[in-house]
Amino acid sequence: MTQTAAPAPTPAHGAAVADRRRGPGRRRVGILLGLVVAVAVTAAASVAFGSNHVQFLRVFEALLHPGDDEATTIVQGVRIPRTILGIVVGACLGVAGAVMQGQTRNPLADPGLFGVSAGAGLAVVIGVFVFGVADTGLDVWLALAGALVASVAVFSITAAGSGTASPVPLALAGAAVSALLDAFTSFIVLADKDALNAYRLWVVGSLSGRDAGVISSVVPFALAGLVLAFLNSRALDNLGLGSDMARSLGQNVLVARITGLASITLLTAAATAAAGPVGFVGLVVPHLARAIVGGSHRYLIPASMLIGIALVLGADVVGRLIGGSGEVQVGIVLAVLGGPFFVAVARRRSLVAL
Amino acid sequence: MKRIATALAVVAAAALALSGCSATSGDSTGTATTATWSFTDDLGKTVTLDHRPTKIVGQGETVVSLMNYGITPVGTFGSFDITKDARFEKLDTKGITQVGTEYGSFDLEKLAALQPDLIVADVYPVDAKGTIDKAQPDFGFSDLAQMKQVEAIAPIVTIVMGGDGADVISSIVKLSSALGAEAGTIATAKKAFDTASAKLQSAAEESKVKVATVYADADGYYVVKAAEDPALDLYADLGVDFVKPTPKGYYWGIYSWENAGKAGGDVILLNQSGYQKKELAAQPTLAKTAAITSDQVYRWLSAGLDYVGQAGYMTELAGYLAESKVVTS
Repeated sequence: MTQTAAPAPTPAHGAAVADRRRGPGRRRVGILLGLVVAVAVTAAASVAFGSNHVQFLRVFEALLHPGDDEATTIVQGVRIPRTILGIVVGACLGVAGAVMQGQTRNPLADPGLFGVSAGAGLAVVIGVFVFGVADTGLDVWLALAGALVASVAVFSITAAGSGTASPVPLALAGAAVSALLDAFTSFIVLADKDALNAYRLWVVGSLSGRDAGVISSVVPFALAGLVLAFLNSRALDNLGLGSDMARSLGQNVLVARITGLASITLLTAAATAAAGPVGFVGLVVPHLARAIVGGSHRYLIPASMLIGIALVLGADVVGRLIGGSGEVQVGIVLAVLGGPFFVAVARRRSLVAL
Repeated sequence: MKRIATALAVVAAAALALSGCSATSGDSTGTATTATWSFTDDLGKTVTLDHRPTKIVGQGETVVSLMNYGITPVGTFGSFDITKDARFEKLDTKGITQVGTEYGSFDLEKLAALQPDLIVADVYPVDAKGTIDKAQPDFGFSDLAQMKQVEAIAPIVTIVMGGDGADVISSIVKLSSALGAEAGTIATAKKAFDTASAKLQSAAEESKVKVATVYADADGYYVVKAAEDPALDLYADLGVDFVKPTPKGYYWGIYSWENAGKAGGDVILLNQSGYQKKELAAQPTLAKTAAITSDQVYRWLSAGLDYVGQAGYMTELAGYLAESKVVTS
């Protein structure tokens, strides 16, 4: 599944360094502000539009003077929590993708690479299999625990094998652990119908019908992951030059790796626990971000966060509007619309500028 | 018109099959070796064997009906585990081998080891007109190739699970009789069914509640179009007033959670899988609906389309209707 770029500096890494030397370009700050506006617009759309065609005027009323009417129930009870969930998921996956690609220096790296999605899925299935009932409140904690255990396992295997946490062994261990966990998941869901039902619901990433309590459960993890990602950004620029070069620049490579890994795990676990595995965002968002703000992680990480949010909210709004009185899950919209979009972007730009 | 034509064809086929049976096996209980057994199923396919099948493997939701008429299969397949299914609660499932408990999963070696004489399957129409898509396999098979593999082990007869509930019931009676169910057993069950029908009819008449039959999960709120479910169609004929979902589509009217409050109904009959009562109440748009606030949520069993199964669920449903009140305007 995964290819890993050879750990040799390429001209693009030099570009990242040159970017940094130029200092905080006004242009890139302007771009980030533009992305903030884009996020605000998609968030507003996410509150304004839905499969229930509430009039705009009623939406405003429901926001300003919440009453006991249908519009208030829909706007306050469904759309606002769902928008917040979309913001959390988009921010987490966008940033996790940027850190993952920076850490592994692999343009195809995806936040699921460390076995996080597979671990979360298995934990949810085991929960149903052992405890009997699927409880959305419990699912979140199980998914978080599963994601953490899986990524710690991947990291330990790598560290035990090679002594360092270098990208290639990490990716290999991640792929192996993911395959193993997926096999266990298949084994359980084939043997137990309730587990299959829970898994089937969980495995298509969606923001719909999630318990509002999910948000407060995952937000602390998401915030911790975001803070670690921002702390990791200078180190990511150095790691982009290769481990040896980074070390000679005074970078503590092990600390940088652990910080990045912890960030990816917390972010992906939070997003996965909140909405199930949502593909594509973590892969494509960093590429879009890199195309407009360049390779320096000081800009790349906030840009990935904002683009991630706008993409998830935008796709969710589209999914709500194309399903008639039903809806299409955000994970499916992202895959269907996002795939061709990614191909178009890939054809126009050199995406391997890591 | 088409439905009548189909029904006539089924009756004609049944008559043919019965005459075929009686001609050869009516008086030959002792000399089974020379007797032949023949059955024409709902799809018009005729299976002929050199003896009446005794080792039967069937799809779980049809098998439950055969068992209610006293025919015990050697194996089952389908989308659930019969030892954990409420429809099998009162039946003895010991000694029945499950060759698959998930949709499309078959342990072919296990199936072959059972040396079945006959496989009993069922199929659902793909639209409201009752069209059977010949390019699709029967229910519970992953594809036609898998169905062929199973058919190589033993011939398949198929029950059509669509149209009028009464038609499905009589087609299952026909198959059960051909497989050796005693006329007395069926007659007794029919009597209980008639009693339950009368009970449901009077309960429906008195309560006047509107009923929504529902499956729900994170994706949304799915309300059954009663006319397109054979069992619900049967209850509707007895006067149960089902809501008519407005979203387009066959069988389900699909509401997103934003729209779930529009589906209506004084009473909710809830599928045993997916969201349960507590989870429905956690959805803001549904939490305020009268059916939820007045706690009129009951189970929807999808009982087998046989006199025993239906008598049981109709009595249960009559009880639900009797204790429910009209809470929507």
